[in-house]
Amino acid sequence: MRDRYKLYLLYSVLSKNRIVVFGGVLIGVLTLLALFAPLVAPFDPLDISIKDALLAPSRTHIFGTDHLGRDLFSRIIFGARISLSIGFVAVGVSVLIGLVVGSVAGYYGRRVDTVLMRLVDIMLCFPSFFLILAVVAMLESSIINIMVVIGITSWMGVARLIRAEILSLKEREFILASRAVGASDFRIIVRHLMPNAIAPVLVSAVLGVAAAVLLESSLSFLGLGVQPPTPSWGNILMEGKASLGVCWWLMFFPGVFILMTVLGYNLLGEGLREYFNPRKRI
Amino acid sequence: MENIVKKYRWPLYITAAILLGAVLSGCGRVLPAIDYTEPGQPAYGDTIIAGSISDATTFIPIVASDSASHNICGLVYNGLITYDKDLNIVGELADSWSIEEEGRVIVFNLHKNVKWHDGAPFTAEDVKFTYEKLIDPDVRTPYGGDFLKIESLEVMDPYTVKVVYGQPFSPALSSWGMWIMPRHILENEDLNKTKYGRSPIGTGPYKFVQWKSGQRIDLVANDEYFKGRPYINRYIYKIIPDTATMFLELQAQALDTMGLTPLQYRRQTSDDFFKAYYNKFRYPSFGYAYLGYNLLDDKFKEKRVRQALNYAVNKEALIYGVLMGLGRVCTGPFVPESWAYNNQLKPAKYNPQKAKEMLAEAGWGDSDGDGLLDKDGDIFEFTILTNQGNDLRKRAAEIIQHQLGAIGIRVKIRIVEWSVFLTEFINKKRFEVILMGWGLSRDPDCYDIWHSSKTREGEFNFISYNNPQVDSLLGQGRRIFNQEERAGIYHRIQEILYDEQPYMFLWVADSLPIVHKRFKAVSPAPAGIGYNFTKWYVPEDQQKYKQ
Amino acid sequence: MLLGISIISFCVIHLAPGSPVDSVTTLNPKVSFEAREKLIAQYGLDKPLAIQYLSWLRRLATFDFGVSYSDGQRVINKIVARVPITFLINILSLFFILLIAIPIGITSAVREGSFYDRSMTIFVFIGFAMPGFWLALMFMSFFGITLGWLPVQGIISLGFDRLSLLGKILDIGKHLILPVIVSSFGSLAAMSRYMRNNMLEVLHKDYIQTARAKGLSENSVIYKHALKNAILPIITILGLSVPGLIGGSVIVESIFGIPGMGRLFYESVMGRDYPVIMAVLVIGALLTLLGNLLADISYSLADPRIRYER
Repeated sequence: MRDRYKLYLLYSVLSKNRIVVFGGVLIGVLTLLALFAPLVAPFDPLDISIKDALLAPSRTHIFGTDHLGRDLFSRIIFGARISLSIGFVAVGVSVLIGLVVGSVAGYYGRRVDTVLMRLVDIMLCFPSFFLILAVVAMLESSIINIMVVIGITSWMGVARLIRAEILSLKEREFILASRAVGASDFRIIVRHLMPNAIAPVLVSAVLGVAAAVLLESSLSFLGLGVQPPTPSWGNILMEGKASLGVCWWLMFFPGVFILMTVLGYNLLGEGLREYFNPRKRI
Repeated sequence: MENIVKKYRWPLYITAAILLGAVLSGCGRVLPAIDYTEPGQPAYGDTIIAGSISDATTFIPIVASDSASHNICGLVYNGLITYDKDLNIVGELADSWSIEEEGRVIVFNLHKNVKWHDGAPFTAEDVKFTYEKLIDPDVRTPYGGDFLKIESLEVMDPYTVKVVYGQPFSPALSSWGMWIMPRHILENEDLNKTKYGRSPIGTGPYKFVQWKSGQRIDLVANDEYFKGRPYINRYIYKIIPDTATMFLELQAQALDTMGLTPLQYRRQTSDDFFKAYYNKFRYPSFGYAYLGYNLLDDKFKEKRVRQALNYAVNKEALIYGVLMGLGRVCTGPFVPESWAYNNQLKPAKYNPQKAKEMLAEAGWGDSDGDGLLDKDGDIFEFTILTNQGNDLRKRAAEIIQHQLGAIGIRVKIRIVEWSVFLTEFINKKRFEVILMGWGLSRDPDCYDIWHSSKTREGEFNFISYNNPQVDSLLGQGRRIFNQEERAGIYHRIQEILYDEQPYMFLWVADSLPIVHKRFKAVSPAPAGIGYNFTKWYVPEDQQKYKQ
Repeated sequence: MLLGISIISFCVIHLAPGSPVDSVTTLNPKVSFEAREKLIAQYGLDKPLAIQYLSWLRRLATFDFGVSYSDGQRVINKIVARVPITFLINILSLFFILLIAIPIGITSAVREGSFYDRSMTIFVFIGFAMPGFWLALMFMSFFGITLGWLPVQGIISLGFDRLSLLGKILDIGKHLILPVIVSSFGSLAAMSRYMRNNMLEVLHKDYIQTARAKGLSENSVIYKHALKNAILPIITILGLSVPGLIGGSVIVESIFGIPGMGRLFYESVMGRDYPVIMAVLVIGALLTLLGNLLADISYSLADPRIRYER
């Protein structure tokens, strides 16, 4: 019964909030495209055909071709796979770290809290892009490294959110009850506190995916992200930059896809935020 | 869904229109009022603005190793010798010279009446000073090598220098293209840190004016230049770190000259606008690109395998795809323009079938029918390593990957940032195959690259090539002075190298400079277009910057 | 706090394989083995890590960041030469954001649900979602070439030295228009959205209803009462967006060829110029701290509630 009520609530909020639906649909489509890439893409994204280089969009190549004659549409679809998975994993890493740090800080309080929050403050001081740039340039730019580095530089927000939630939940009866029953700290944190604190983290995660995708595209654009010939939206843009002005399709389409993805996630995130914290209307 | 679209449609249309409009650019530019095709009369004046991707690091000529610093040093300083348009050695600060004792001794007679930019006279003491600094272990110079071979350097009189080498050393004369530094300014300075590194004094056709870090470097014509004042008044070196933006600047006519990429040359500079305002040039550059095998790796130990790979890569397709046809196949470690190049060698024709057969003979067949070649259970795969920042090399790697994939070899590509590339991979020989290029000096001596002794960490025979015959030929090439004889030696070296294939020689690319039409006397020659820069001029009525 | 910053900076740099000697001794057939060894000893790179850190820390106290590996200049000089420009762009961006985002936020809140509100929302969201470098390139090719209105590179024109003071200011201004717009685009969205939400919250508060009931004009209600309360959190957010602006400067400066700190950082990372990298990281962090501090101070100044709590 409870679940049905929740669903109904969800439905009514969603139907009032068309924007969220729009965002959700957008990323849904993109994610599906990415998942089913090999079926959707008309050409092999790595298939070089020099005589077909730099063709404008046409019926065979709906987005045109790149410098080496590879079909741009296929590359963008496969690029979706890469860019989106980097986004997801990076956010996963950051949420994981953030959850751990935030809950430990919030639960144990006092000295532990101060030390951990100091760490958060220090990390927040560094312009994150600088840090990412420095680290990625130092280590090799493999996809895993990029995911980890973006994750490592964006956990601070999650940590703070979780800490705040836990601080407020810590003294509630159900927690005191669990402690009275003798539950271990770990169990309390994981089974009781976290599930209730999840809401803002979810919002943060969704928005984080958007940010991570943007970050990855910036990195790849600078040449430090995903390496060719593996396509990613950022590095397709980088390759397209060289032909700025002549081959507009090389810059236009990847940019539009990044735009749509980030837009979609942002809208979804905003929508979720409203769902969890509806503003009271008089 | 329809409701949403209906409600938002106008804002969406407008945004889409703006986005598309921003992208479809490049139309409607003004054509000139002046006719730039008129050659006019040589006149003093005007300014030339050159574009550069990187900033200079220092103007102490023997310390600087990057191209931007070199470009500026080339205008501010002179060497004892230089190269004329046909790549013959001619004197610059040296009026004449004589080679004695079978090449062990060179006596330079210097021009008199040459002045440094601050008015002091240039003498042989400056030459001696430059030499001392070149071999000074405290000076961070990469060019000491050639000068360490000097046994003694004597100042015979203020305008005569006698250089004695331990052994006859034929690249010696060429090495004296090194820029000469002023003793009276720098003798008590620490060349690594001196403030004159940011405000140089030379003898060259242009004097230094200012250097705004990261933005521009300004030079002005030297009225007292001993070879005659250059026509163009000012030289501005604008630093624009990105080729795409540099090209945009060119289109806005805020730049007068830059190096074009093949795409820009072929597709973006042929419309009426460019025809009216700019001249573009094309001539072979002085360097080649290659695929280098790590000869310590078992896979590449056999000559037959390397030769097979050579047949498996279609170099013409490579040049067509990467350079858009603006380059040539090369068959050895010299450029076709050089007298050392062996014109008799014919490049191997693309023959993937033959490649497969040769590989099969060497034991690489497809025993399990998976499309990949294998031998003793291992599939034939390797990684091509190249450095970041070079679009052309990246594309070449991708094409090679594709072509070798067609005969059953799995190739991976790894692009690594420059310094890491050098320390971690090249110097430690941790690579299988690298895709790189060499920029060559005018003298064909390539001892440092091919001699079997040059395999220590940081040296240039990082592929570990070892051929005693080539070793002795290299040594001979350095000792013989007669150009014809030397040519014969280098021809032979090239023959052996092409047969042995320690490198797969890929191409010699063309240099593609573009220069604003108002500059006259620009004429391509084997040495390029810059050799007579001091003679370029803009007729009075076509001058743009009145200063 | 500062110690923490310095440690993290140091660690980050020395994560790397590859030493700075390599970009100096470019793969140049004329560089000999002996020359390289000479160079390594010269830079002191053969001493153990801990010693390098301590000596760096010591010099840090006197703001001596050492000497750049790439061109031998004192690092502090290089940074000081570049900081003003980045600073200028960032401050102008902040102003721009305030100038545009706040009115948009307010007016959107006031006209909540209207066509205007919805189109602003879309516009702002798209702006937020756009990759900065994409926007930069589009703008450059459109405004710079097609329309020819604005210069595309650098911060000054050729004849700069001969302009009057006013001319100079205008010239720099012209060059900065595009970079500032691109730089602030992302934050614009966030800021105006935030402003709108804040404003909406405040507008629904009781005291606004009271004000309206009192018979005050709508304008007065909005601007005098609601605004003052809604604006406070903006100040903190402004402070928090400083690191974002500094970080974003890397791309903006690289594309527009602006000789600022962001580009300096990028170049030094590529060239493994350790002293410069560490210095920029530390200074970047310091600037952020400063920004936050200022934000806190101005917040407490502006919000009397906080003051009295002390």
